[in-house]
Amino acid sequence: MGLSLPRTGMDIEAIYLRHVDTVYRLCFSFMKNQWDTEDAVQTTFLKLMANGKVFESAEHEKAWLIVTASNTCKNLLKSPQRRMADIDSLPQKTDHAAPSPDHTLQAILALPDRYKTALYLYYYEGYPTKEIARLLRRPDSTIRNHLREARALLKDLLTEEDHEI
Amino acid sequence: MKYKQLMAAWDSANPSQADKDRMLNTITQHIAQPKLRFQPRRALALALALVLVLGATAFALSEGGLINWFGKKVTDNMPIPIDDEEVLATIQARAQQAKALIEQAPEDELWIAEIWEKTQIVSAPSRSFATPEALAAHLASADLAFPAHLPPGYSYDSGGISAYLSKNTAETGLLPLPDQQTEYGFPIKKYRLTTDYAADIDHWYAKFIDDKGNVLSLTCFRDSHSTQFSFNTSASGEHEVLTIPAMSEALYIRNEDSRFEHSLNFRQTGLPRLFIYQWYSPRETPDVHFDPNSYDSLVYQFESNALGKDSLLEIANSLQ
Repeated sequence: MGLSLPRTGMDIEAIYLRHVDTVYRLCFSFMKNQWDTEDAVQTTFLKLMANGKVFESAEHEKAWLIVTASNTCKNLLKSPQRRMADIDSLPQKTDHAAPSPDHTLQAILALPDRYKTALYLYYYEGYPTKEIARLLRRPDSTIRNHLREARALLKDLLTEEDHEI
Repeated sequence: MKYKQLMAAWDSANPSQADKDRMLNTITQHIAQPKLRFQPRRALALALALVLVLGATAFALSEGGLINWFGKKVTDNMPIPIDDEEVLATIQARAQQAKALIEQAPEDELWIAEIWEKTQIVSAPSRSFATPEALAAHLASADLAFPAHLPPGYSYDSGGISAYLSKNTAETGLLPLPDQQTEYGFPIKKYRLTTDYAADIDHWYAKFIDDKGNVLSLTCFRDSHSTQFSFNTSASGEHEVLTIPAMSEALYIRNEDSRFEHSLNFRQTGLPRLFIYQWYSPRETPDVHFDPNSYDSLVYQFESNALGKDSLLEIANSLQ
């Protein structure tokens, strides 16, 4: 176990610059709008500051941030105020012959939250299911089920190329 | 590339550079030490007129690569008195909570959150200005300079001042307001300022942004020439001691790991000594304290993620 010290501004800036895009994309999947996403991103990095954890590698650092961001979003979404607001901000189902990134993103946002982290880690970050299972502390079979169910929900919006994944 | 439709969807949600800068700015304001690379003996009033005040409870500072105004390596002799992770986490959590609360402070009020023994978070009274011309005029009325030259393509984003506590305000201009009890276990003491505090400028800042989201940040604060400064540098960066007319020291630092790659720091010393009071003091009683400090210098920090040394120097040379 490494020495645990509060991080300096320089430490945080360097880590932030390495991983802000990853954390932001994941948080956006949950929070669905820029402002709540920014809250979640900031909270995630503030938790990193408070944690003082020493990472074994850049990958370890990234994995910690992904899991923390995911948990942060789920906690933020639990608040009653947030749940009330969400009712009005749910993406509307639309019919489009050729889905644009916007439409695909809307489909991702509309997925149940339990699928989102695994989906993002598998398809965007390229993590194997076993690694996702280890990170999220879930059985590998659960992760594979979540991915299969998410794919089924997305299939109307994905092209043939993405169906093959 | 496989999965390109899903990847394109997530990519379409990426934050802009301006969004990233804004988030990072918010995050760094939570850091329990002055946001700037300086390590002055007092906290600074920063862009949101928030100051994080640490007394005996100091936080860890950078572990290496520190240099002084003259580019000489110095050691970090600040102690790291907190070795209890739980205490540290509590203080940092409370700092976040307090910051969120005192961000709501009106500009003409002083709010002091005593979040831990000898540790306070203070919203210094402030005033923002809608245009750089208005800010420059206000600074000129207090004999403080503002650059006449600003780089083309950059638009004014925000700017303002925070105030020090003058003797007049300390003695006659503080109207106590009811304390606010918070759900987090610490109170916030509040005062309204009834004097024209905005003339008592302790610190000013201005932020400019171009159409690509590049940022130019200008800050200046009062200090004493005896303050021991150190600046963080990176192994891949560079620094250069410079000369700026009317300034006693100037140091340019390029640091790719920093939010602002280019940083021009300079200091004007030998100014008429000004005795002012702190809004805060690392004492046990959470009250406004009147510890006089004397200031005889102005410290400037001009930074940008895109404008290099020459551009920053040009701005610095246009101070008037």
